[in-house]
Amino acid sequence: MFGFLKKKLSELKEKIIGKKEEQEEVEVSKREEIKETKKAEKETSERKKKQTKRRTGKPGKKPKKEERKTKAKKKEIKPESKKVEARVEEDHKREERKEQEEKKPKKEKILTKLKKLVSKKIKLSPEEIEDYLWDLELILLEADVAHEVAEDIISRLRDTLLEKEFSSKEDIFDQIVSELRKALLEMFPDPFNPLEAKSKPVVIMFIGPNGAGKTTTMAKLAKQLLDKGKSVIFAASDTFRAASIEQLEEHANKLGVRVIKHTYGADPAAVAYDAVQSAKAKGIDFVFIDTAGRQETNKNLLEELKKIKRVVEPDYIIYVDEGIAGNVILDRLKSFGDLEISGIILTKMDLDAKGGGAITAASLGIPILFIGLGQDYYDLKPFDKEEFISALLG
Amino acid sequence: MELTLDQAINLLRNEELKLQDLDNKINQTFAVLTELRIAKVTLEKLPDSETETLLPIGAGILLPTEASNKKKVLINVGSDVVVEKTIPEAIEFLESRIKMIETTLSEMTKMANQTKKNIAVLRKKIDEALRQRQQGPTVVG
Ligand SMILES: Nc1nc2c(ncn2[C@@H]2O[C@H](COP(=O)(O)OP(=O)(O)O)[C@@H](O)[C@H]2O)c(=O)[nH]1
Ligand SMILES: [Mg+2]
Repeated sequence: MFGFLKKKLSELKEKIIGKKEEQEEVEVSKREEIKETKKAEKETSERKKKQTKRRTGKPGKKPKKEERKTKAKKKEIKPESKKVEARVEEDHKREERKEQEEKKPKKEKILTKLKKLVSKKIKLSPEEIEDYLWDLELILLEADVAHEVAEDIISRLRDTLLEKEFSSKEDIFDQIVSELRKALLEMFPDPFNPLEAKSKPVVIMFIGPNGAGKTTTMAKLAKQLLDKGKSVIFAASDTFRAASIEQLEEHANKLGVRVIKHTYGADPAAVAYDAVQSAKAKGIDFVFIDTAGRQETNKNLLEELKKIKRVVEPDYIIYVDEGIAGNVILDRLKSFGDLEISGIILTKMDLDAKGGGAITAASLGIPILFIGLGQDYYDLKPFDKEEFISALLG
Repeated sequence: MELTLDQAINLLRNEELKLQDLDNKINQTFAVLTELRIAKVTLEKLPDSETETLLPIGAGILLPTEASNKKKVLINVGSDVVVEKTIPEAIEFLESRIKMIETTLSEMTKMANQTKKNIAVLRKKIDEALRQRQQGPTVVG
């Protein structure tokens, strides 16, 4: 699970470390000839200009491949041996300097000391930071984080990085990752437990697109409650989708849970209402309302869901979607937005390698409560943001 | 049952091959799943009335075209046999395929995870046995 981001980040690490060495090379020549340095600076600034130009044609998602390619090429062109040479040269210089220092007046000594001090702490120029942030944004987009969410994360990082000082190239990378970790931790709202009985019955309405795993997730949650000795009743309020009632009944039979159902095409709100009444009459702890995912037009669906909400006043409205849906989750979540979603459950996380869906889902400030990790009843566990982020970033 | 060192090493090789094979299959299956999901989302997002839309035709290529969800689509069900379906029917067709593939994928992922565990256990046993070998017996767990 989640190998993707780690792999991409290690590529970024390589780049940062490689790039800083490039700069050291420039520094070496600085000591030799000022002319050369100026030329180099000119070159770098020209290169940066080009980079910014390339950047301004900000792509949707696809051009990033090209970008990566050019970068990969750059790496290839720069031969390993050059780095080594530079180092050897530097060593040489140090020796020479030492010798010279012994002879030459104090002034120079202080200067070298100062230089050493400065080179100990690296500060990144705004351009360099933009460069790394751009890479990071591409990584997030490739990990299937929605575009506006990726931009938001990046802008959180920008200011902190500008003020930071770094002790080494590795430190630059480490701090970028640790800032990313911090930003993500802040982004994920803390979950609550909808399975704690706060009223009797606790009424939970499950909404979300078709095939997201609403019905399956309801069954999984019911299993957890039954194991704890609680009672549950299902409302078959997806009266639209062929076979949806049978699917729910199949789970109910396996679990020994009662289903309140009408016929297909019946009013979903009426089914939900009946279920709540029945639960009240029989002292059932939880009512789970299964709903439809899609109709001819989603507008109808939204009206239908709002009606259920009006009629039964659920304690929680839980939005279920698939973690593997990635950036698409944002649009979908927004399309259900009027309903005041209390929490999110992400399914199919066992199939997800990128984690972008979860990051995207967290961006609206609604907590992720559980994640689905398979098709069996026990394949559901509370969402733990720290564990998730650690799995993501290593 | 106790394994000799040779047996453990053979078993490890087997498990490693199995994992490699599974990983390949998982990747291939996931690619198919992604394709199905793109098709499903595209159909779901078709506008109610004829509007210029960008239709993904695979490999990240988008085709500008006029489309609406009132049109019918043709589905190649295999051997170039094509059936006509309404958009909701087509979405349902895709969903059932997606369900099937997800189940396969889920099972394969579980198997891969189990195999990874087996490999870790075997590696540990082999390591221990090798360390003990310098002292004496060559029997593994
Ligand atoms: N691998 C995996 N499959 C899941 C998970 N949750 C649900 N599914 C599968 O997703 C498919 C659709 O689930 P369903 O509950 O019918 O979705 P609904 O249309 O939202 O009610 C089914 O085949 C489920 O077995 C999960 O966490 N992991
Ligand atoms: Mg369902």
